[in-house]
Amino acid sequence: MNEPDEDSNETFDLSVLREMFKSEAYDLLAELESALLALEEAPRDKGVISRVFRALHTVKGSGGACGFEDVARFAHEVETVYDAIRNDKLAVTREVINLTLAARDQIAALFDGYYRNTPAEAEITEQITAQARRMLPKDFTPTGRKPSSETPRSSEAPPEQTAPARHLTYRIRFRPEPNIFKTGTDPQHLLDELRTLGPCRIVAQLSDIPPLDALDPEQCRVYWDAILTTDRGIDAIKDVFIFVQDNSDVTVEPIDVEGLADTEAGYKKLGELLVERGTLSPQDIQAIVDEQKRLGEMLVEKGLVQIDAVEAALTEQQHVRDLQRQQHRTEEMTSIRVHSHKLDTLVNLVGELVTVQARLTQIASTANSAVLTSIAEEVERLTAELRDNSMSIRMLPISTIFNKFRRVVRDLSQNLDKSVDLVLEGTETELDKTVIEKLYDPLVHLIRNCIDHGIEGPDARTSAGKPRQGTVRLTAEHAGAHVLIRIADDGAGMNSAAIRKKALEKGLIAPEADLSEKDLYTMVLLPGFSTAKEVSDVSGRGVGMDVVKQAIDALRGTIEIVSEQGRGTTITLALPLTLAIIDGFLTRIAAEHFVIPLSLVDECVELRRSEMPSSGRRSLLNVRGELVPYIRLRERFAIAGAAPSIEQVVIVKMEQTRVGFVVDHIVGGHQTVIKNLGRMYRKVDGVSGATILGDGSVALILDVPKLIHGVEQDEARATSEL
Amino acid sequence: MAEIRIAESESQIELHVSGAATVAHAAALKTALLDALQRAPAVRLVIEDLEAVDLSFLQLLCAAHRTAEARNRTLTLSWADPGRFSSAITRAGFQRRIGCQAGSAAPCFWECGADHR
Repeated sequence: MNEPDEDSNETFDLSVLREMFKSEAYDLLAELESALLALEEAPRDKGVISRVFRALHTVKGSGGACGFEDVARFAHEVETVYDAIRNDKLAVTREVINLTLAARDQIAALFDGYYRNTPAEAEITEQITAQARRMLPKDFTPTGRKPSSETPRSSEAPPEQTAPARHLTYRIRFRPEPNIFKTGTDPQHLLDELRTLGPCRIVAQLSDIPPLDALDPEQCRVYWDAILTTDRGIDAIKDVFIFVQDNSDVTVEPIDVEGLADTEAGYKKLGELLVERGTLSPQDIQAIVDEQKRLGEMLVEKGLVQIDAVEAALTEQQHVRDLQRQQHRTEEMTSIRVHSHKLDTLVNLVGELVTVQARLTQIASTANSAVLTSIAEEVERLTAELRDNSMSIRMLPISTIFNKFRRVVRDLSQNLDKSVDLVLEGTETELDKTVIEKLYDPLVHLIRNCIDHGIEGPDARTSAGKPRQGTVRLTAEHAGAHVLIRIADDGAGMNSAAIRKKALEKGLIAPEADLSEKDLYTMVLLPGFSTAKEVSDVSGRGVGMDVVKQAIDALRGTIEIVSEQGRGTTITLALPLTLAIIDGFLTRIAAEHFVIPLSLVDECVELRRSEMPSSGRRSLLNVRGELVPYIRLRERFAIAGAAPSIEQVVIVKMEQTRVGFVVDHIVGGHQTVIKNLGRMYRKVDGVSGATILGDGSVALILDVPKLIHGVEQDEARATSEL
Repeated sequence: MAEIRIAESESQIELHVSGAATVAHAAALKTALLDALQRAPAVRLVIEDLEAVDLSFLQLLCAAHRTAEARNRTLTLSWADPGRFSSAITRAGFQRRIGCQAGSAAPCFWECGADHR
């Protein structure tokens, strides 16, 4: 057996460490980008400057610790720029922001070089580094930050940031220099930042405040004791104070709270804490306890401790007690990071299980065995729970991609000399991760189109009586089993006459065609369709919207465009919550089965032959006085054979529209594992996928939005012919 | 800009503070407080709509409370709207379980449960 040598051990450790660091690396870059965009809005805000600095500092430290020495060196150069900024030697300008955003992209490229095997261009690193150095004032000397070469390597000192998350509790004292107000730093911002690291209690120590006549009101005489529980490590805590550490007194001390949850007697008593903190001797405590008064009061009365010290100790006691309670209560809430492919595998396996369960149920229903039926029912219940649980694990908030668009809008509006505000709403809306991953590119296309073609230049907007700054509003909301994503701009809107002219030129419509505005707008989704007078590098090649349509179709979604000339355009995407497993409603026509997504089913009614319209009349059903249009699926899908004398109408509802689907029989609820249609069938209209039934046969899943859209078009045509 | 409105009666002076109670205006606020504590046996400080409040103001109130006690004056604090001011107290970690013992005539401003309405 070969003994592994030391080098290979180290390489192994590093690769494991780097793999563990992967998601954190990209999270850090997302935070850096978000902080930079916030800094552009508030270039003098010391709190935001500190946020950017900290993000760079953590990228440098954690990256270096995982062996990304190129990242550490590069981040250090850019960090130096922010060192100058925090020392008021350099102002935050657009040039600084552009440089840092470019640096952020280059760090991403360096990480990609390792994680995605797409090597970064070293020249770009050199260019940005040179630019960063040129920005620095000639006389500027960086403060005593750790240069990249001194960044500890993993083999020497395992970094806390990349170690598996472990919550520790820290005692922190922050005594700022008296002149802190004059440096423009607000201590409250630092305390706020401390709170972002984890559960934190902060006590201001007020004993040094003199009477009013002796107080210089522009000097800070307050200091703070904090007790913080965090998994971010001591460096993250120290980083909060990185701007003030040279002139302030900051101590961070981990306290032993190991096995907190198992300590029945609870956390240390006040006296124990005061002794441990070196404020009192055990004898002092005992003497006082004997008097049987409240300890805190007695200590203060005796002048042994200042009231602030008692307050701080009580706060620590309370913090740890709360922590203990929380540990008991929320142990199940502890989260772990799992590679997403494991979740995909889990959902695929659950899908297989659902199919097998359907077979079991089918066999049980014909086997005439009470025991088998009971087992099948139990398996069905468990499978449904397992399915819901697995699906919920894959749900992600849409903010995962929405936040990335801030940068897209910022860069693009700058390139086009436009001023555009991006408003995000409903960012907490959850969607299956597979859908979210595939949604980024089409949304980028749509947003780029909004800014390039929709939003006018500042002068044109002013002439049109609009604010100089345009707005793009990106919203998400749940609507049944769908998520609606709207991209709305307050720009020039679409020119339906121009679209019609272009469609005629391209022979896409006949000259006599009478299309509604909505249908005209839909023309822009066709391949090669673009009314842009000039082709720009942003859009206008007539490929973007076509790509969007294909991507949304692939997600089984729909696109609706509403526009008003001079007022703007709203594009609504309706997307299914998931592409994996849904609750379906199984129906049958002759021997063919069809599944309708259960969340869309409103009600079922019967349709007798006598109620059917005579030939040539519209298919409308009177449901309690409401006329509901319906489609006979037997005719729609050309299924041979005679229909029963009494058919079933499944009425579905999407937004405010109700439409009936006529089938022979209703089978009932069915857990539907969605399978893609083969390439041959991908363009079959009205069907979005297929599923396997318990007997091994295939059922088609109806594409309800498309079928409804067809009915709406027929209705509009019928109305215009009246 | 901090605005200080003064309402005087025989027995007390009321200082109504609104606007920006920040370090930029801390010197003016200190002068107003010192003057009021010099002239009246009881001073009531009324916090109204504050656009901004920072730590310097909270520190100033503590110092004023100490001065009032040393001079045997009564200084009380009231605020009707638990908005920015309450938030500043919490953010700065000024809230107390046990109030400071400078005040025998009036409770510590920051003691939980003290009535400041």
